[in-house]
Amino acid sequence: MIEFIGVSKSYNAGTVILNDISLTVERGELVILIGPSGCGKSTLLRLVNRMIAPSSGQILIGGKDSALLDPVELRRGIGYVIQSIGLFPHMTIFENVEVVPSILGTQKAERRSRAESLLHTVGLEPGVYGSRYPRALSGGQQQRVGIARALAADPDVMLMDEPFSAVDPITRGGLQDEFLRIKTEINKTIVFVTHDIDEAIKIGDRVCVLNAGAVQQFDTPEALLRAPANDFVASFLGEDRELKRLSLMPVTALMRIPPSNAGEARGQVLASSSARDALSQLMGASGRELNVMDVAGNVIGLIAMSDYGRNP
Amino acid sequence: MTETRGLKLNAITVLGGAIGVLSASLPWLLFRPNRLVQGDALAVWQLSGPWHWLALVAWALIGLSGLWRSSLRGYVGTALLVGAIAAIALTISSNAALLLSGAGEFARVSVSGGVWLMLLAIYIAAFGVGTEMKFAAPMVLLALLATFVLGAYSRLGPAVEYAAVSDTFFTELLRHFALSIAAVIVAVVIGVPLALLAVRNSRLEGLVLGGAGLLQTIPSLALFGVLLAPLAWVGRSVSVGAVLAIIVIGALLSFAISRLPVSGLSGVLPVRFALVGVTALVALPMLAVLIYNALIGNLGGLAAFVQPAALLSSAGIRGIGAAPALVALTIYALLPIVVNTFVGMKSVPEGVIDAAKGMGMNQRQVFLRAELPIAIPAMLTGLRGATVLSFGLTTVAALIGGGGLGFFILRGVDANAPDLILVGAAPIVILALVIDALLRALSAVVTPKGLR
Ligand SMILES: Nc1ncnc2c1ncn2[C@@H]1O[C@H](COP(=O)(O)OP(=O)(O)O)[C@@H](O)[C@H]1O
Ligand SMILES: [Mg+2]
Repeated sequence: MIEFIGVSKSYNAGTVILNDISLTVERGELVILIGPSGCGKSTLLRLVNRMIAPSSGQILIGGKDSALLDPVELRRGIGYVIQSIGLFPHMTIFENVEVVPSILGTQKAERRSRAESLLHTVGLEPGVYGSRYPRALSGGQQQRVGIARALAADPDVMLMDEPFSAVDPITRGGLQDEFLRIKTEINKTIVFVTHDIDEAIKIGDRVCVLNAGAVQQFDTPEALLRAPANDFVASFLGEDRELKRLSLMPVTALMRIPPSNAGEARGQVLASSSARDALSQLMGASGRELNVMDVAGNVIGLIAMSDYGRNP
Repeated sequence: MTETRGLKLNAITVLGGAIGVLSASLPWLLFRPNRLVQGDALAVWQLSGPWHWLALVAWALIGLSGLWRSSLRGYVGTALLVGAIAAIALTISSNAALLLSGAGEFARVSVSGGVWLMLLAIYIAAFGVGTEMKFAAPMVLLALLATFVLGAYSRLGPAVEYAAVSDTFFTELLRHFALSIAAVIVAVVIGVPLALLAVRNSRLEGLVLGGAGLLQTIPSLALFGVLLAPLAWVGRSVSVGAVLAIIVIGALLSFAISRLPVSGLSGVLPVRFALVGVTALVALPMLAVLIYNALIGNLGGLAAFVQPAALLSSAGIRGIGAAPALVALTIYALLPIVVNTFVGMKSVPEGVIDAAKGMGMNQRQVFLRAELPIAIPAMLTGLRGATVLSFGLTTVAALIGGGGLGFFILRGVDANAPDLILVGAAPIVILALVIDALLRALSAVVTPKGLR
């Protein structure tokens, strides 16, 4: 658990970067920090592992005041993925992943087998990539190594600063899917910075929208999209925020339980689809209704354009 | 690609042969009956014996062999080249003997333009023939070496001058080495920490880099002049024990200050810097002289360092001699070391340092595991530059009685004996090149694989 209590940060010239921030990241939760460039996301993140000291306020980590902890010890227990990746160019991929365990004095063989399994986890074949040097990897591959490196000492807390920023949108989508899978595997408290609202909605348990050094809204993606707290949040979410909300909603939340005319020949949509995908299919389909099918092929409901009016 | 892959003409071999023949247009030898006259240049037809004609015939045949479209030409070319070298060597040795017989103690024979041109021709022809016969270059080198070892050039001016100074040559060579190396070591001891300080503190950046650059511009003679009086005075009036006491007290004080609870206060840092600076200023010349004495095996000088009552002059710190030379050389070696260390450290990506800190490395680990391996190739470039520079500059040490190979150069200039100048200068050039190559090799070994 990470608690910010009245945290402010300003640099000498009196420019306030963060102003009286209070928020709590629960254990095992993935919290997204999002906001326009320069709003203080990285600063807030780096306060957690004391790469930056707050001007005032407290940061509690697992209930302990981080200001009283030894910064070096503290950082060894926190995985940190930096915005610019920062792999060590003179070390192989294996060596990069093994840096923290080697500082902690873990045996070589143990380190290596952990590095191998971590590279597997982030989708890199250790036999192929382990002995290469960072410059022989693409940006996306390097970011995966950066994540594996941060995971190496099995920290309880992960800080990730725009970890997918250096990749093209298609690769990024794939990395996000993989990340969601890894997240359930590793079960860590994660603070994740991004400036991409779609990424935030897709992977965050809760999203903290920042602007001008203050928290604008801190809530689940669904709640954020349903009820933006102010104009800034609304405009940041975009004109299509209702559509984004539909993408978080399963089609089963909007469907009607099949009446008597079930089984009539219509288009079909899988029950696992999002309401947004179902809408897209409705717009392209000739009929006015779609059957909602379960995996076994049974029709479990009906969905039509009109159902979207009853938006819960 | 449909043409037959038959032998074409070997233009390089032809060029080599042509240059060899052309060398006949320049004088091959120079004869000076004594050190006061200009000397006579001897053209090819003024030489005696058959060997120079045979050499020219060999050159002509080498040129023709490049036109000869036979697979044998590589072997024939190599044999001709070795023959040419033998003929040239015999020309030189027989003519030198003839010219010098009964000519007096100060008569000198040197090689002239034609021979240098033939050296170029050998290089080119060996390259050309080497494309067809892979042992051509080693054979040529072997032949050249053999002519040396067999004493074909032992009557030439530089060899005669060398023979005259051979009893002191190795002493001066060792001194030359010791001066250069001691200066470079001390420059590393000063320069690397200064550069690291400049990297960490941007306000010191200008001061350190600018300072090192400024020092470089001081003429060495002016520096010797400035150093003469103070070094002489220090040597006469200060004892070894006093200096050791200052070093120990300075070190203890600066350590104590670093442990004080007030060590974070802004006023304390300048005091520490000043303390370290003064201590270093006293300690470093001592260190330089100590290393120098150790390198030349001067046990008497070394013994003075453990006698507190001894004056510094007995340890070698005087207004003239090794001490001012070491100070000057250290100052000159500083710039390449400071600049390259600075550049190397600046080349470490910001993100790498950030990541290193962020994953829980302490300051030492960040330096040793992240920064140093990335900076070390540039730092070694600096070390190489400083060593080669220092090796050349050590020549001036002879001006103030510091010794080294410059001694022969100065004496050669005084005596109007260019061959003696060569005895001092040639080893400097050759050794500088060797050191350069060695440090390059070291750099290649030390550079991390991921950075190559
Ligand atoms: N060392 C510093 N000194 C002064 N201003 C800084 C410093 N570091 C960051 N800032 C400023 O703080 C603001 C927030 O930076 P940052 O947290 O990196 O923003 P982002 O949300 O893009 O990650 C920026 O306006 C930046 O210019
Ligand atoms: Mg940022």
